[in-house]
Amino acid sequence: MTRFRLPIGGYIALAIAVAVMVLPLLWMLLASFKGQDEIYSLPIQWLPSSFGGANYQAAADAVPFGSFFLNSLITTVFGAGIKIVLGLMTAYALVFVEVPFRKFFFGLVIFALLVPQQIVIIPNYTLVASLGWLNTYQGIIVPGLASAFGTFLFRQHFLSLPISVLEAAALDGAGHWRRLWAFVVPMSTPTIAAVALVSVVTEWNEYLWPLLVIDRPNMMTLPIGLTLLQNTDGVTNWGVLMAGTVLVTLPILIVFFVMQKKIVAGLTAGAVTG
Amino acid sequence: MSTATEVVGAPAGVPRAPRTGAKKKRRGETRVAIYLVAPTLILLAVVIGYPVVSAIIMSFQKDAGLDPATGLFVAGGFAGISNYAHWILQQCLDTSGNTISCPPGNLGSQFWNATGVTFFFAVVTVALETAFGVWMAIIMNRTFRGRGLVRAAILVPWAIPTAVTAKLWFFIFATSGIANALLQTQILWTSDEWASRFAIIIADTWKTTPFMALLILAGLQIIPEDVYEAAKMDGATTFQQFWRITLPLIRPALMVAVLFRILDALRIYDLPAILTGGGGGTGNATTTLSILVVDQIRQGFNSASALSTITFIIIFIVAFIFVRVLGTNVVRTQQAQQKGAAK
Repeated sequence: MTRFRLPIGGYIALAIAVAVMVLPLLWMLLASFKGQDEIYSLPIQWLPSSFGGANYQAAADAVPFGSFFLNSLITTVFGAGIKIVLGLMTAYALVFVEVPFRKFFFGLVIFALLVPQQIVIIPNYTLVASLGWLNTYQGIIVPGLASAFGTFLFRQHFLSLPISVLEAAALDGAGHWRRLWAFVVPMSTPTIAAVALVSVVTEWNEYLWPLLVIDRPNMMTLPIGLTLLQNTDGVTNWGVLMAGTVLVTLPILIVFFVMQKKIVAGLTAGAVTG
Repeated sequence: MSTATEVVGAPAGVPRAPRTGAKKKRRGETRVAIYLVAPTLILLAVVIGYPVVSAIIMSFQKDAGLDPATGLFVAGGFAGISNYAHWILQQCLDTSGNTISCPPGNLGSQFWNATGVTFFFAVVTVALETAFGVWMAIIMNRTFRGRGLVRAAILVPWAIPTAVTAKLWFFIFATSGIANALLQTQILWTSDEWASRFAIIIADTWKTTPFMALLILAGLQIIPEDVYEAAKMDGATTFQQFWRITLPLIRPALMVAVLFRILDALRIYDLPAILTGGGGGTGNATTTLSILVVDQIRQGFNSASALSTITFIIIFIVAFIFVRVLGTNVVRTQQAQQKGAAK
């Protein structure tokens, strides 16, 4: 049943699955080139009459997409980057170092996985506000850093690493810091790539928290800015809105297709075999 | 769990150092450990630990504001369990300060409705996503030309922002949108009570099934092929192979995936907030607990804290029941992996 050649029925099922996933996005892309009259035309007009960028121009004129993009980029790079480094350090300590109360620390990590955003959101908001961090990058980034997801996956992966290599490194006088970056990290690239992709996607898509701490348009991230596009005019101009969604989606799709081989390999190489 | 941790931990943690330096070594180890763990611990304490404690404390405080009886501004103070009573028993204060049941329109009166909506979404979406996820994972696990590309294409909906998903489906479900055009209907997908709920379920299933499929695929890949060969020899049908082999073997991975998804689904916010403006139908057909919390934040932190604490407890109970009844154990599964690694 596994890994056998696909029968004809399998190909049809596959085609349906891919179509269901991709067609709505294609519809979005097509609509982003259509004028208002083409979108409302009956019967349905499938293809736009031209592939001009008028809607994109209008979207970029209505809201500052450039600064949205920059804000998203900064929060994503720092947010995901710091999360990964912290996760690696913690997981390394939990697996390879004689940490006192090791089990207790791991329990904390599991607990952090269970805590829903709702309960921490209000105190974190008041904390961020009292620090004067509303409408700042650190206000968006810092409260999201305590993600236990990476630590959890890294720990599981580290447990499967060959201990002999690290013992040899230790005999050669490599300290823990060096053992982590020169031995453990290179041996864990698929898992790191997988965690990186999940973190990048999560950060890029983050909605509720930035919505609360940001109200100045010049500090908004792309998903928040997208809703601003809706609010600027009373009647929904679908073409412009869809152009906006394409602009928000495109960067993450590029990252995704560049890294997709790694993510599937990393997440399926026993990382989440949970 | 304890034995497994030690078996793997001990040889790594204590490299065969000369005996004389053992004590010094140990002190050094502790210091290194502290350096490595400290940043995360501090962060966890500041952005998870402190907020949880302070949310619980806040939930027992009165919201500062205008006293309905006197019209004067009053500072908060200890509220006892009145914030909880407000949500669970729908108790409000009337203009003369008496406890009455909340009038319709007050957020307090929406609590049970929001709880029901949240659970309805969670149960239906997770069930659909699990079923479709298993199906997709099985297809993706087979060998065929262009598998990498197909996997990527199927995963795309998961990668795009929920805000985009919501806008995209808002467009598809618009009154004169393609959904109505193809179905030849005039359904008010974003404002009718049940239609708007189904719109959210469809959008959520579309978005999250790929990730579910990926997690299940991870479980599928550890099943050795010869198990199926043997089953085929014994004349097992495809259905029997699925029911007797695939399902039991992916159960641990499946259960962890379902648990994570349920926890996620119980805090759904973005999709209903954007797709149906948080309301839908009569104004609260798609109001989930998270939306109610955010609405309440604008009216008073303390009462919102009580609501978020209730939500937390609900989620915790669900997770607890799930782990107990279905025997999902996030920790025990590592033992299995360690066993595999030790081979």
